[in-house]
Amino acid sequence: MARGKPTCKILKEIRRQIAAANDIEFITSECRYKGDCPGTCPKCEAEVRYLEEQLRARSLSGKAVALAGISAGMMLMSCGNGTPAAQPGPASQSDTAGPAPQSAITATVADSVKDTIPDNVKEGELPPATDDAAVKKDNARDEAAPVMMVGEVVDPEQTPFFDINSVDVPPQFPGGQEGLYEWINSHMTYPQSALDAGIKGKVIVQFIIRKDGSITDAKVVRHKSPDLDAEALRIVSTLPKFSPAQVAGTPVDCRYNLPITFKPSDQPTTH
Amino acid sequence: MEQQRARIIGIARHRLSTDGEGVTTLVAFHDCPLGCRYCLNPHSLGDGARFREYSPEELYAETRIDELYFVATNGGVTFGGGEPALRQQFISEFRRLCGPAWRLNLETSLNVPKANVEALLPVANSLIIDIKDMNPDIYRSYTGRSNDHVLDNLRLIARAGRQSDCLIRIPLIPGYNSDADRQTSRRALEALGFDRFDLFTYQIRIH
Repeated sequence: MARGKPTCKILKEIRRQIAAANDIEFITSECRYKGDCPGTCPKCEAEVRYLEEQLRARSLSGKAVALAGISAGMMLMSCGNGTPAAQPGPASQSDTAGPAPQSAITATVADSVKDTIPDNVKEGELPPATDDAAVKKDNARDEAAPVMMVGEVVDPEQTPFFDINSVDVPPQFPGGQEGLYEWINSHMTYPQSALDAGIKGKVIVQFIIRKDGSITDAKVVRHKSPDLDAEALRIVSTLPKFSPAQVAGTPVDCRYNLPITFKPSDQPTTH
Repeated sequence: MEQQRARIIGIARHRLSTDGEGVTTLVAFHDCPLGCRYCLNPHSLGDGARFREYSPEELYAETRIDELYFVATNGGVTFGGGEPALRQQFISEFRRLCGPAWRLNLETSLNVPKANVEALLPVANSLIIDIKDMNPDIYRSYTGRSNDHVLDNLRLIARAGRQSDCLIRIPLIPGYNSDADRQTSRRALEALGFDRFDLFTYQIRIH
């Protein structure tokens, strides 16, 4: 279920109410789009523009336009939506004012908009991605993402993990640091080509220890040679699950840098 | 009037009663005086050069697309951030552009000079105030700043008789305060005449 669909339904109902309150013929249909939906799409937007056009025409012809507050009750009745609110706590008295009385206002709505519903727009069709980095919608997060809180906006460049220095409890390898060293030493094969070439030194592999302890997104952030880099990554791929980092008692994803030192005369070590 | 421009870290449309009454568009400004550990929008801090700078006119043009929903649902624009109360001139100009029909809400910490809030009260319909905790020590521990401004501004709002336009959010901040602290905060706020509260628990976001 695309998270924007409930939003879409509520917005559509608001459009229906606006049309009904102003004797505007409004024919719409159930959205059949199955993909992710931000709550609106060109078809929905075109319906809004159509209503604006009709309201403007009513106003120009001297008819009253009913708009202010006519759908205020929608928000109070709706329960699920695409951008869930932080629910008021048990002590909340945050009920807001009830629906405003209907009033006739002069339609000043988007006077410059003269579009009507285009035939070539399909329901659920999403607008082209904007190049404006500041404009983000809630569907930028995937289905598993947490709900949006009051005032929260998505940062597309957000680094999706904690730094190890900012967690309360760092991730822990089974057996601790000693266990980690032993694991690496016992699982490493010094590449023969590197031995032959006399290549030695430190490779640093960076990865994310997920909140379930698994390791993802491993990459070499300090290179030595292709063979040593590859061997370092292979070793990391063999690591068992860590116990995850924690913040305030909650497991979190955490970035981890693992230095692996290759010494031809000794066993490879970490430090 | 001097042209006001502000960096905006995000514009989220169709927030259904998430950030105020009705259908709202959340506009989040860059920059904040606080350094809260569990900040929901950490990209509001630090270098904001990657974010687009808007004039009030540009922002109005972009948000006007949802005017029909705003007016029909008593919704409008909620300014958050970052700290929107640092942008009183920008928001005042935005109000002049959008007129009285849109509700303008502020999602603020109130940790700004009193003059900022004095300028914003006439143009804002409602304020969603995250007071963190009324205890100065807890506040400083969590935000790194004093809450003197917050207390001054709460008294300012109370003197203006605008308490009923405020929703006070009193969070349970893991590792920083307790439910007993929250009740103490609530009593102090009730003594100032505030009576709309949202008691909630901070979500820890990955960042």
